[in-house]
Amino acid sequence: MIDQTFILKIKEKDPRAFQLLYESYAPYVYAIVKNYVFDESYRKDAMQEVFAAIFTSIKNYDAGKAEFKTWVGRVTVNQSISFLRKTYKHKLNFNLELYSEVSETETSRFHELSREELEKLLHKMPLGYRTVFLLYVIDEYDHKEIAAMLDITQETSRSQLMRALSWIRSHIFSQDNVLRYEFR
Amino acid sequence: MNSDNNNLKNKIREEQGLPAGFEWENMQAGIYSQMGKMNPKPTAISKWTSAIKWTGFAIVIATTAIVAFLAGSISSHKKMASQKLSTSQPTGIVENKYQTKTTNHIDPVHPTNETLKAPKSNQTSQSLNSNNQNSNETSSTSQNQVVKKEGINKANPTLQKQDIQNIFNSTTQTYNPSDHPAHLSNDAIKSGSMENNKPATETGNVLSQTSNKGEDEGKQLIVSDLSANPEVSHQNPSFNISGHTANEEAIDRKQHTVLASLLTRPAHFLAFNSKINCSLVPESRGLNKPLTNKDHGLDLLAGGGVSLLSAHFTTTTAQETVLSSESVVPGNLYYLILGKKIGKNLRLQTGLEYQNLWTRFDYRLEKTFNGPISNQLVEIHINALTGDSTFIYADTMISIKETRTIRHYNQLQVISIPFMAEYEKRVGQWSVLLAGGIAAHFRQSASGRTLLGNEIIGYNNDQPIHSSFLGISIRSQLGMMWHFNERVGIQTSVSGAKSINNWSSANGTNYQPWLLSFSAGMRYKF
Repeated sequence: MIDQTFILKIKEKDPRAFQLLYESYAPYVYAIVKNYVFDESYRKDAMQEVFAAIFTSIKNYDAGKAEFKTWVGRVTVNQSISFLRKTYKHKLNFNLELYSEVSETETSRFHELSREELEKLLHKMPLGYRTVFLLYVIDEYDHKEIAAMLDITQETSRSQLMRALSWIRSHIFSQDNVLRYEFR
Repeated sequence: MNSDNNNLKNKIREEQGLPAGFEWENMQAGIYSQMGKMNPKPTAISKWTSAIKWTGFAIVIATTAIVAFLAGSISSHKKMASQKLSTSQPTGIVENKYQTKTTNHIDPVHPTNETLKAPKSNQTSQSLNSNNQNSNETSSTSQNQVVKKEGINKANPTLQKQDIQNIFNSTTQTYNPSDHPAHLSNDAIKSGSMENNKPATETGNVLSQTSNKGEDEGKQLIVSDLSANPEVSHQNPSFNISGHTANEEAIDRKQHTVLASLLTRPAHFLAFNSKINCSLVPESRGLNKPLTNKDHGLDLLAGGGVSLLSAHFTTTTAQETVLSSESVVPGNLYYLILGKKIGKNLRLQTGLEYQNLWTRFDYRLEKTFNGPISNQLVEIHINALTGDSTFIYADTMISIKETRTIRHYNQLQVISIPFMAEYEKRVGQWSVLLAGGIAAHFRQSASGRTLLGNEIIGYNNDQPIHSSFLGISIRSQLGMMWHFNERVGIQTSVSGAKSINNWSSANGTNYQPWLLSFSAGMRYKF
């Protein structure tokens, strides 16, 4: 459990506190990072940047505003996006992609997929779609926040989400709404 | 929906532990390295940069403080000097704050109510209103040369003997003691009519001064007329009072001049033989030089703000459906403007402005590719009984629509010289400012992309899209100013400008942008 004494030790750069914090939260952080950074060779670097950000910005943590785990999750997402923008700066271009017909859809049937299936699905999804999808659906940022994080307009964020959902539907469900995607 | 999302979230966020190689021992070096990058140690250059930045900031703050202090100090000096003299040192030269010289000739034989001459400045005029009034109330008894002044002594109801003596002493510094008339000796004043409050009519010609206001009503202070004494003259061209030089013109040395009155405020040096000279001398006691109220009419305005440059181009062409648009992005504005007052509410302004202007240029390119695809699997027939399947292939057409959107930020840096006329309407501590004029814009640099014909081109200083070095615009400005005091004020304004010449020499392009600015600055009046 994180308390003020522990946070004070982190601020004082106590190596044991660093280690304890890392070992306590690394699995949680990794579960977030791996969704955003699909290339396994980059995940270690991303994890290091995330924890460096956590250690250096812990002085800004306000226990009255959010639980520590929630705060760690926010820092992880922000740092993951920063890592993505830095690493995939050419690929993460939301303005250069194929247009396709977009229609409203929903995620009501995603629960039919297993975790492994979802991971494989996300892995195949274009980077721009996946990033907005994760931010909006999984991490529950609104379009205004996403636009600020990705330096895009809110309209772009909305359209990216719609296209992501459309992409998922077209890759999972057949016309009669029966799951047909084979994860192999 | 929410439960589904939570379900999805839980699946995706399911913790499965760390893979091999992610243990703390393997990660800590990298984490510490990243922490070092996030909190870089200051280098020598960064230290110098920081020092210069903070020094500049300190200079700006110190300069502002000094200017404000000086402005306040001058104002308070004026006020203190006035208060000091009016309360503790009644010298007879109290009300005359300004370096004003006025000579009023009153014919003792044919007395008139001629007023004092008009002062130089407005404030002097205001200050002298009471004096003028007093002068209007001045009458001269023609035969016995008694000048009676009424309504003068209102500011000093408790004039003491010592005060009179102080007045006299300061006056004796002016005159050669050998020339000092017996009538004006301390003893004479103490023992004479001043002390006893009696008209010294027995001395012959008498200059008397009577207050009929307040507590002094009916009090009559009399100074002997010295006109009969031919030795009383102003030999010293420098008429010193308390170590300061009064204007020589205050004394009509061509005439036989007599010290006539040194009474209560505002008192005058009346000198007359056949005429009476009335002189106002500066109140300057305690200051190194006479306080003046010179209004140079100059002011300096410095500030900055946000400047918006209107879009350059909006074009649609048909061939490739290239859609482009240029939108406004806030830029920076800094200015230093010098103003010169040319009328009560009017001033002319010019100076330097630097503007770093931006626009955002987006273009979208849409292309459609149509082509046949042969031997494409189009159907699969499966026999439900036997399980045999039949694949049907056919030629088909494919249509692909590609849309690209490119965004670029265009930059234009200009140095401008405005020529403006500004009207100021003062309302208490506030002023409303309305200005209009022209401005010359000198391009410093330009870069970006734009649509020229059907082509998207990048440009810089060397290309014709911004080759016009000089741009002219007309502008108007509306502002508000808050006056901290008479010299320092802070103002905010909004201005709009429209260029009147084409800033581009490229064929097919017309670039006459609008400029909209929101700014705030500080004005100092010299």
